[in-house]
Amino acid sequence: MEDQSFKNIDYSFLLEEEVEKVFANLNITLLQGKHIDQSEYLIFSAIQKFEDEWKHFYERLYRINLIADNFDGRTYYYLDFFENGKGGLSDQSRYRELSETQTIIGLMLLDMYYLRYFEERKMVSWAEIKNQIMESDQQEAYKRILFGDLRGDFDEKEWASAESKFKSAITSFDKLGWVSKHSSQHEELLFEIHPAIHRLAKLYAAELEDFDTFSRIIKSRGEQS
Amino acid sequence: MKEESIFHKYDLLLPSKFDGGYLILSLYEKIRDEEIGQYFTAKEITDILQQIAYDYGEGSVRQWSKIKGPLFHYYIRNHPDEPWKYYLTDYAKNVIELMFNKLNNPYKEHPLRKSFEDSFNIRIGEINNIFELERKFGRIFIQGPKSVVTDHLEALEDELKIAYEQLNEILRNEELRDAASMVRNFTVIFGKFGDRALDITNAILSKDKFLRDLQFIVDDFYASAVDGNILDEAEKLQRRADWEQAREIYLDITIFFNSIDQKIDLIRRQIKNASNKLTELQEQFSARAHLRLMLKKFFHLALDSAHFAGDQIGLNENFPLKKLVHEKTRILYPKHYEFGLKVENRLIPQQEDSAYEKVERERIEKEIRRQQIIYDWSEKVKHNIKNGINIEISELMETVTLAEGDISLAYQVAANVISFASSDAKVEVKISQKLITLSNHNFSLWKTKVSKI
Repeated sequence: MEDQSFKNIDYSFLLEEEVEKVFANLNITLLQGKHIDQSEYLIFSAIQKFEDEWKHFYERLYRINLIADNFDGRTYYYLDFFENGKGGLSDQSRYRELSETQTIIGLMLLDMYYLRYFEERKMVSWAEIKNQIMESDQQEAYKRILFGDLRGDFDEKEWASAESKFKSAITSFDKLGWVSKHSSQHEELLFEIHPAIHRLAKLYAAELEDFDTFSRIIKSRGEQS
Repeated sequence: MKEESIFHKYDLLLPSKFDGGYLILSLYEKIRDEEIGQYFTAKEITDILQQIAYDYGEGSVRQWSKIKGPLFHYYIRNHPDEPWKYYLTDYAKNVIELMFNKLNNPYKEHPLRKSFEDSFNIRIGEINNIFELERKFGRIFIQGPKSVVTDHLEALEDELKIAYEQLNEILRNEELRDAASMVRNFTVIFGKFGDRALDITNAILSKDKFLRDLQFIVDDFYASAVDGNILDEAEKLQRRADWEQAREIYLDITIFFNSIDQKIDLIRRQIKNASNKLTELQEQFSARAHLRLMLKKFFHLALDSAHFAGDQIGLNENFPLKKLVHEKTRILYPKHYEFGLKVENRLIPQQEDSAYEKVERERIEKEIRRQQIIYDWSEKVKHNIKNGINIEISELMETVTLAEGDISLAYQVAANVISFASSDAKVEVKISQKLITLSNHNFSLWKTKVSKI
């Protein structure tokens, strides 16, 4: 896979001024799993301009793959393990698993992205999430999952607990570049969903490919347990 | 009652539905329709509350005495002369009228361009002096036309927002799986976007023309202020003041138009964005719709597999969780810096010091000689002891001191001999408690005899 495509590529691009300036930030954020899109313009353009060089850099020095992905007309970059090697996955210090809470809330945000498909910026406030929980087609599932109860209304404490689940997930997603948070810790939640949220769908590409089988397995095991 | 549609959006403006919100609306409508008078009684209120409970399927009727607390002062007040009667405050009426206007914004049906042209135009010969300019476009007089335009833009924003919601709704509606019918639905809503975009473009053109005309008028005031033919000082000052006032009016309107420009720009961008999305959708309709559908199914499956777990959300064990690259990146900073390292170490070549060398050389040679003498004496005495000769230490020391002239040498030899005698089992050291003092030296020792057994 290597050597062939990376002929004549070396590390001299690291000496370019625009790379030197952002290197630490770029390298650390990518290695921490962040998805970089145009909202972080300096880093984004430093990657875009030397895309092949960076690919070579991460492949040779870290054995991980720099991927340029495109969703909804916007490009974003992130690092991923090589499919065949899985070398990185054997070492626990090199990856992080999405928690169950993050997985569910991430899928919910992906759904909300589509609900705002025609809007230029996909801004979401806590009030809108509350509205989803109480009024959407999925309200029963949301209530069951977030409150463990199917009442018509919930008290302040229950809402505070639900909001804190969202807040902590949104903070993690902000670090991943899937959303950008516009509210501070003590303010009511407000954030923008980025196209990079679609990475979550990519992570489940295999399951989506053969959804019927996957669904059968999940359902049958669910019934057994 | 017709208020349901109002509550759908603007419920934040009123007290919550059953705690007085519906009541205020109903009172407003009944007064407007002359079903009750301006001043109404507690009984009329109770009747309305019963009707509300009936209409909305509330199990129990809210007690007027329980909900009246929060409503008083801002929404409802007592009649000053007949305290058993109540009336709706102007504030309550204004709030409700605001909601009605938001819902049925009259500008929705009018082109924005027309609003612009009605409010912001200058006919030839219309403005001849500063009073006419002030009366038409002064800060206070232009307030009305300004709010007509901003209200119009707000109505436009609302309308587009509803259109987006409809577009998004079509996109997620699973019943409309057939691409052709989906596109048809999109097209209907999109017609509105196209019309609006054209209207905005026309409005901006008309606005630009107006600003140019206004600039000409300000220029006229300027020309008049700097007219060299005017000699009267008071007249000069007056004309200058007129020009400055005209300039301020122009500035005020420019600022207003700048904010309008920003709003229009946002709306245009939204329209453009929606239009791009539609083009894109048409291009890859089936693929995207398929992906969307699969994601939706997947999401529902995930929701079915999830459960409440206190501070967390739980997922069934067999639901796969995914991993992301997360390298621990650490930067280590040294705690202390050795700033002194920048000073260079200099080598200073030493000069030869022959006097010092001579003294040291003599000292070393003397020491070597001493060692040699001590060794020679020690070996000689050891040899004698092995051959059966008895040695008296005090005598040995006397002999050595005499021969070498240094008692310290004698002491070293004696020490060597004692140490040799102690380590050799065949040699005996006999010490008797008799103090012997060496002649001519302040040195005493026990009488010590070393002999071969």
